Amino acid sequence: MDKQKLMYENHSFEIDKYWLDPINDFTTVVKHPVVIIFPGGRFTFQTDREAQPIALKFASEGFHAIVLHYQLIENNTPVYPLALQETATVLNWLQSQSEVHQTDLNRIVLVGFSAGGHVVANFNSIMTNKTSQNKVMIDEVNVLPAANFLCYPVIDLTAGYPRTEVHRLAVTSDELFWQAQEHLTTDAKPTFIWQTWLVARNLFHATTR
Amino acid sequence: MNTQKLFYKNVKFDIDTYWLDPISDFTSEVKHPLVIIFPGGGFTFHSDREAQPIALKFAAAGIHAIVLHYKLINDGKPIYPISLQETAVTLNWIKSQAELHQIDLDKVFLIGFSAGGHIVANYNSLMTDPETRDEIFDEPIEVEPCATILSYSVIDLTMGYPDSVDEATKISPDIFYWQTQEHLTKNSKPTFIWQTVSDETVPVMNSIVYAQKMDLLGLPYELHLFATGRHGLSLATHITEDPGEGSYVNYADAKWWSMCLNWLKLQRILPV
Repeated sequence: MDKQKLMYENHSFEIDKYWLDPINDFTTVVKHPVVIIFPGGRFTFQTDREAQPIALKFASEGFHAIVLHYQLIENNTPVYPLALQETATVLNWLQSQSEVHQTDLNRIVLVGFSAGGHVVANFNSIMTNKTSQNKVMIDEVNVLPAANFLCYPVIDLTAGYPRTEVHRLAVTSDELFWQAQEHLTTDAKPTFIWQTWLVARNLFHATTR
Repeated sequence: MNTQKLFYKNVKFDIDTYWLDPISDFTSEVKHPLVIIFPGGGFTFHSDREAQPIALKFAAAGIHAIVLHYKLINDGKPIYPISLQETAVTLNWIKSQAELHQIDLDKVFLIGFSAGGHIVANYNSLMTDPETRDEIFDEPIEVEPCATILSYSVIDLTMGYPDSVDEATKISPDIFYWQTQEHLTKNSKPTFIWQTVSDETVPVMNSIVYAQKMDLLGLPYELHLFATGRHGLSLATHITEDPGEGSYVNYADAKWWSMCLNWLKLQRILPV
């Protein structure tokens, strides 16, 4: 695993890279799909449990893997729009890596867990459509994901998580980013979603009490 | 992945290490098992197909992985006893890394593919028994493997691979190292063996004689011989498929991996 700093404008952020090495026995080049992983952590930290173990699982299935340490609530800086701009930066950066690391830019997948899922869901809604993309970023996003995995994701910041308005406003005071489902368009990409019913039910009961 | 140089006397060799990082969310320390991987390659090269893809599979299962680039015959010098000494050096080095990387030293095991399997089999025969071990390696070996896995392995250099005495002599002029099954003792470790009956390079009788000897000695083993499949399948999925060579994909034989994980649970290397 290697760490790399990337920049969006004058803001720097980190990714962890798990590149697959070429197999020298092969006579032809094999290009691999890429997964970008967004660990959960309540928007205040990023859990290791949803980083390396996930990256290794994907790597063992023939994916290059990247863990994106997306913008957290820090020093009064909100998560949005930076988290989406960072994601776009990584996608554009993958173009520069595709020769060295044999990446298939047509097969990039975003995987988000919990709070990280909110970032993926918002990316899928807002950044896959040119009009809404331009509200967030002037630069072109030249590479888009082909698909998404949402794992017990936060989708709607007003639907039970975060539990307080203070926490919600710290994530972002811009309501554009609150309800990821509201901004889905026909440009959004195929998505695999999984969660557990019992947790969801408990959450529902907690918010209706 | 990091590459590390190790030495046995003045012989230098490389290992690739795939360490699992600690999960800082956890409040108590977790120690991981460790596997040393011996890729195949006819004793003349180390096949990438049996290196990183295997290491990543083990890493994804919560096991630290090391690929050992053991001695080859390209410089005209024999494989033995050097490759066994390199393995011993690696095991001692693993001891020095145990704190830093949270290694469970009671759960270190070896896996060999094809030619790499011959070295693993010889290690299990010769280096687990104090008498033969002390002749080969004159220092203490601080870590002993608890189990071995043999994938379509060369067991006996007179049983069809290599195909001539001359070739076998290049691998080892000393015939002591030729028939790994002959030197199995009660000290040898439990072994998981798999191969295909239709193996066109290493006759399946190799796996059979090894299992037979283990059986005679009352040693624990598991043996899977798939009816079909070529030599050198590795994972037998698209991950290790040589592009365009469909014969490297065999979904039935690919089940060996889950059988192997199951066996590792039986050995208490993986949690049940």
